[in-house]
Amino acid sequence: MIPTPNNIALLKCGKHLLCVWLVGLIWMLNVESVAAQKITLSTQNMTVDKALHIIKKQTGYLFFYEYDLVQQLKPITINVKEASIKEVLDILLKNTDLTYSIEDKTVVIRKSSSAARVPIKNQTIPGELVIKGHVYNDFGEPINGAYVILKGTKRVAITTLNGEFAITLTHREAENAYLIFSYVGYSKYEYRISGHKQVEVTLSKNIDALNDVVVTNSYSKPKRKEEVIGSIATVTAQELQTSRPIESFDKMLEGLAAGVQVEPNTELGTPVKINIRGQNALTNLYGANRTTLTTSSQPLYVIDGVPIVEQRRTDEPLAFINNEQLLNPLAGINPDDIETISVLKDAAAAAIYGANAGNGVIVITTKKGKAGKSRLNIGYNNGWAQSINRIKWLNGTQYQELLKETYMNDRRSPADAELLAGSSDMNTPWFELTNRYSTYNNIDVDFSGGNDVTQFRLSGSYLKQEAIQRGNDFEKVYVRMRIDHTVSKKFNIGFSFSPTITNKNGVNVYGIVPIVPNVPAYNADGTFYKLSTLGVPNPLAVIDQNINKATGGTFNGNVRLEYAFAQNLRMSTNIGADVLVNKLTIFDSPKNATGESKNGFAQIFDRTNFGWINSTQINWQPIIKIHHKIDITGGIELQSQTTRLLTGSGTGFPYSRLIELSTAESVNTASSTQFVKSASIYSQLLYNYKARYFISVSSRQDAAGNFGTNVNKTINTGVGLGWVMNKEKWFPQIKHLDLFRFRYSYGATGNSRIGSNEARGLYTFYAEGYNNMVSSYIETAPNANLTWEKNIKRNMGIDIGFKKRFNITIEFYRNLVIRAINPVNAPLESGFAYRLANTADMENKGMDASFSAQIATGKFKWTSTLNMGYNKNKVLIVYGGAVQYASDNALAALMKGGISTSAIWGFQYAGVDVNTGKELYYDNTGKVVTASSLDRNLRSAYYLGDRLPKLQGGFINTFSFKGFTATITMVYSFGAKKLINYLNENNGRNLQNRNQSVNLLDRWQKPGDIASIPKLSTGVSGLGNPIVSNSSRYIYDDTYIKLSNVSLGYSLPSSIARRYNLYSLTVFGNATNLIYWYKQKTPANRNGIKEYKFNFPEAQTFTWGFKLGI
Amino acid sequence: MAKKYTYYIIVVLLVFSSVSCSKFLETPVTNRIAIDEIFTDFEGARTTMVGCYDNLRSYDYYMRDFYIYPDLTGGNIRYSKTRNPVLNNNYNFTNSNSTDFNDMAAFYKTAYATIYSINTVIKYVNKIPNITIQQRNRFLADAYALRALIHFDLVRVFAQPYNLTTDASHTGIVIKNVNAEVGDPSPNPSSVKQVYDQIVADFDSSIVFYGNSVPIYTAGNAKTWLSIDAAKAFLSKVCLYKGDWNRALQLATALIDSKVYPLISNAQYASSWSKKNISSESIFEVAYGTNPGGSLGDFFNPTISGSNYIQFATTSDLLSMYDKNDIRMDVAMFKDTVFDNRPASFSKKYYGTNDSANNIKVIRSSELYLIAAEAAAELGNLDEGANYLNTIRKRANPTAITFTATSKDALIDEVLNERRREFCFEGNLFFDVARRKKNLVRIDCTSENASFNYPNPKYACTIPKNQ
Repeated sequence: MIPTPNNIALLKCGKHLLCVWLVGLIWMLNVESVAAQKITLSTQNMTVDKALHIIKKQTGYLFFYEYDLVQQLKPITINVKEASIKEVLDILLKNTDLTYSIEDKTVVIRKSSSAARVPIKNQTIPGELVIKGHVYNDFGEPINGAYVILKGTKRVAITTLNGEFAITLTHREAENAYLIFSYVGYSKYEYRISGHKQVEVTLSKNIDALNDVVVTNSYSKPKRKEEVIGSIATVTAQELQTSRPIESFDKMLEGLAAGVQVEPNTELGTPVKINIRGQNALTNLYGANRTTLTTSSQPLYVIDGVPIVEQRRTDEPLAFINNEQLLNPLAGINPDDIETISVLKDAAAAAIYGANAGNGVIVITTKKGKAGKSRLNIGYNNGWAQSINRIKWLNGTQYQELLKETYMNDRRSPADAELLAGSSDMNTPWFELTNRYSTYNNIDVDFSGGNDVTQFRLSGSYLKQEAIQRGNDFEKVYVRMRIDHTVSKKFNIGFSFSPTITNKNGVNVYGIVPIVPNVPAYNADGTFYKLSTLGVPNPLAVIDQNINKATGGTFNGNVRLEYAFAQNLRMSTNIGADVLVNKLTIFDSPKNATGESKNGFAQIFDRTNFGWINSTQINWQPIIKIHHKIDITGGIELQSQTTRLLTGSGTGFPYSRLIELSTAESVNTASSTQFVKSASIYSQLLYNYKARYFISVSSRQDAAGNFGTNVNKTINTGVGLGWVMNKEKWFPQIKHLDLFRFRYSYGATGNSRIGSNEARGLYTFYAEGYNNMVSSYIETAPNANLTWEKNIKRNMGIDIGFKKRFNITIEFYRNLVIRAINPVNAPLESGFAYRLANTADMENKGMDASFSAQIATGKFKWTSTLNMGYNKNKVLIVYGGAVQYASDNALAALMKGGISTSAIWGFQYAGVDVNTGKELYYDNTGKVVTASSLDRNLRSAYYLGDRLPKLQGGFINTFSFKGFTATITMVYSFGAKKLINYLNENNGRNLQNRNQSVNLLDRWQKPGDIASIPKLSTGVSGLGNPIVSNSSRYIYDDTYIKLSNVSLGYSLPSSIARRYNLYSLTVFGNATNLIYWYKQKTPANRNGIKEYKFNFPEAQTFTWGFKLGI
Repeated sequence: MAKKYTYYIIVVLLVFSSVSCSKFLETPVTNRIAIDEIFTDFEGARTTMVGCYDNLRSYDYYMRDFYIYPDLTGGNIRYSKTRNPVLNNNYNFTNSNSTDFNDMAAFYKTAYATIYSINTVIKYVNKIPNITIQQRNRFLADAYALRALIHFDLVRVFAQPYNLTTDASHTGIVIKNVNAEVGDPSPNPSSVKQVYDQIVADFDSSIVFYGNSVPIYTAGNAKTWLSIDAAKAFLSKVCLYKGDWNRALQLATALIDSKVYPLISNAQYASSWSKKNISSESIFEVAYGTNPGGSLGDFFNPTISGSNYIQFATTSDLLSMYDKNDIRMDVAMFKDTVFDNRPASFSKKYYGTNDSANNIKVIRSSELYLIAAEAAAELGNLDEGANYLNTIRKRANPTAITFTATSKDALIDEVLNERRREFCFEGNLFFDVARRKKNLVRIDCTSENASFNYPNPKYACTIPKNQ
């Protein structure tokens, strides 16, 4: 949206409304709580228990008390009107040995401390005493289920619903003993008894301790960390740092998990590529616009048991593949709703996902409501972004000079060249005209609570983010509901539903084309200057007149039913639906070059994806003997995905404000439907002995119709072993060592995500073919041999923990991809340029490590995490020939045994001929030749580096002191090479069409010049140098360290917050992409990797915000 | 209560797990149909044949690449602008064997892809149920004629002329009369003689099948589908290229004498190119339909604003060949304008764009006259030859002096000049230069390889190859 006065007024108006709304909300809540405190109660001989129930109903307060304590009280008679809760409770508990405390709408009733000193019945045995007390959380809420352990013994007590515990010990023990209090998600607390009998303990939440529970898959309950054998990297809500101004969680993952590489991009709202332990699918050798021809290289995403649809399918008609732009389906999940993300990396963890787990699995668990007082959190984020590391382009004068020189080099007369080169003093700042400081706004609201029977969480969010490029923005509305309900002791039911609406404007697609600087942007009369001779439209006219608007909706929901036949035998079923709609309207206005020749051109794409899944499983934990723990899960899963596509395009819009196909002069439409279905059986067996030896076996059979008429089946199995070695007697006693564990796993997963019926020869159709008759064209040749690809994963890991504060995990792995599917070049005479085939075997070998430490744990806290992934890819065998070559030199790729699939193949630049200015290369014999006599076939190309890094990861430090928190996230990547787009500095070849890099100033001009850029020429007349798109000239070292995020926060102390009836208040500031360090330096006033890395520059974003809890 | 829920759960589970697995997994095919299914009815089979025709109507083939190639390399076309010239490697004779750097690679791919479809039709035609023998014959006649035509187009671009060696034993192109299995290695090209023999045999077969066939297409003018006469006309041209003068002459004259395709008159000549009418002298035209999504005219029409394509201006060489009274030089045939600051003249043969685009005339009876003239000259019948030539000369320019043949070579040279005047931008010039063993001379040309002498490897375009 372009800020016109009207729009600005609207925006301002919106902000005011928001403020009013927020203030109103807070006020209402306060009013409500004050009003609700008034109690009216008139009764005779009522039990205290009943009276409390009535009070609870009237006030909405939560009550915690032990039933027996209240039950023994005499019935009471009471008559109050509009009394405060305090007054009523004082009356109720008068003359009893009970006391109460009220905090935050929670009432805890317990024995008064004087009463607790009275010996109780189980203290009758002489020499023993009972220590009693309560365990509360940070917020003063009782913790149910916390462990209280007498240090050095196996004596354990567990807190009750109201946080109460009692533990018996001898007087002797009590003298010098410590009690250890622990609870999942909270820091452990040691308490020296030293004569106390009543102990009130508050445990504080611990970020790292959340790692104690790991979501291992969507089929079974989370496991304690010690039980997990598979290689799983987890990222918790806190670690995800959702206050960062990043629009989807996939982009947030950068640097947060060992062995997980996020290939960033600079375009808002588009998916990023995630490589888990390297690239597990072969590089597509058939061109960027047919990326869907291989099996998917993306991990499988599972949200609360429902797999997320891959939007694009390989068998879609070209009308969709070529023209439709898709939204990132992962942006349909509000990062704030995520509780944990588990990245399953090895076979022990991932084999239960079978044929789709080849690229790893990312399991997302959303937040659920917690029993207790209802909580409302409101967050607001606001900020702005600017571009950094921009490519420096030639200015108007430089451009004209170079273009003139180019034409003269092409044997044109100086006068002709001068005429063709245009103005020498005009300098239109196209970048500044088409870009801006962009804004970021985000509001989050979540409301959660419940009781022991029902917990709920409702959340909503609104995000509005502008891209730096004008005309591009992104707007999201998220809603999520989750309800968990316990019907009976045996029966649980859960429900979640999450609709999301996305609006994206992406009109300025020409923003990445550098327009020549010596033409004006506007005519003298203020209209847009036409750039038609340049073959590009005026981007300002495009921003102003064209439309590219996508509206997407995701509706992701599921119902979980769980029934416990017995304590150890549970059956559960999950029915999930994933509906995705994407509607895109593109309009090329007749007023500018994009739609001029067609008098306006509109395209409408309508995509709907219906997916459902049903998985049903039984979990059994048979009790055989003490020390033997068995956990068996088995289930079936059915999945179906239907994609329905509809597109229409129309030309001729005499009145360009009515952009509907019905107003077009001529209309063309197409539609298509795709199906994918699969049926699977899976099972998992976990066994451990004395929590020392662990075994897991997972297996899954998938059946699918992808490969032809016959249903194909595949079985994948993974086995894992774990051994806690420090529990062995022979293990050397090392001071402070808590854990020394060895893990090993071996197994297979698969990758079946190619289009349906690919193995059959297929005709595609076009309704308006020759003479407007229906035409069909052969698209693929029959290939009965096409079959599943397999991914055999091996993993060996060591976990070390010491001093309770330091954790090290190091894992070594080898993933073997067998029969990987890829399009390979076919002889052109066969009628097909390529065919799909099981082409090669490939391996990824490497190491992941993560080190985490709580360096300081006192008032000043410092937590530090370093993770790294080292990976080496190698193609092992190429079937049916030693090498397969890419169809296009610009892809600079080939497949060859012994070399990485992500390798860059090209030609070694030998500089510029001093005498002729020709571009020189080393040929494959090492001889220096000119580019025109170089054999530019990929057959003669060399290995010039790898696109993927050898070593990459993140380094995250969190400091906190008295309510202040600082988090610093650094991301690093070593060893990757980047092949940049040659068009930016290609010897002037493209100079007549677009601006080029300032590096071109270092060109050869006359014999004797020692230059880095060859003699300029357009190449149109066959003179000059041919294009060598995969020259080492265009390869840069992409080794970098970046300070990707710094955030600072301050939380108001709860004592102060409560004074204002607030539960918590945090204010924070955030800065992304602050500092970059590249190994390869950029020469002064020139461009290097720093500038070239992204064709469109990266954004540096600064935000501030607050989070308010009520 | 719990018990009640238990029943519900079990019922739900049973419903879901009792779905028959293999039935559930059957995925219906919607937007694509497998080869063995498409030939199970007449309409399905026909779509495959229509699709083959439709491939002719693409930028890769008659809509640009193949049709422009001989005029761009032969010297009828100069680029009117300095930016984004298309087929620039053709112009400079810098096509490489890599598909990336070969401007004729797309044509090569489309040609063989179409041949694959044609061969599939021939293979499955007998499986189409419930069709008459005459309908089946039409499928086969079209398949053979189209296969021959595509091979003829390929061999003209990618091989040296037939008469380079006395027995035409030099390398030609790959003949595809049977489809390969997936994964088969790249086949070897046949000799030019073998290729021409195959082309002649295919046209001969098609003529036989057309002889006992009925129309199978429901739309379009009959001239936009191949026919027995089209097969004969093309065969006449093939015979001319291979030097079978007798047969070339006999086929051409038979069609001329049949009077089915009368020459357009001088008065109607210009308008026959400007309206979306089927020309009376046309024997085969490639139809655009109502929604072509681009046209050959986009590259010639300087009045299209905002288009990226306009670039094929006429060379001064060609313009200088016309007499000022020649109808083909008329303002109705050429648009003189200033483009990119320089004067330029654009042919109006393809002036219409999009839904007004004129069909592409692939072969018309004017060519039969000039084939007859050349073949007669070669056979020593100079008067007969001059007669056919003069018919075309006088039609274009009634004031033209009657050409009198003084020698065989003079007559043939004049036929070649007339061919250039008559068939410019209709995909002939460079092929005529090559088959007559002439040197290439391009005067109004900025290419490094503006001119070269015969013989030269450049007379055959380098065959593109997937690496």
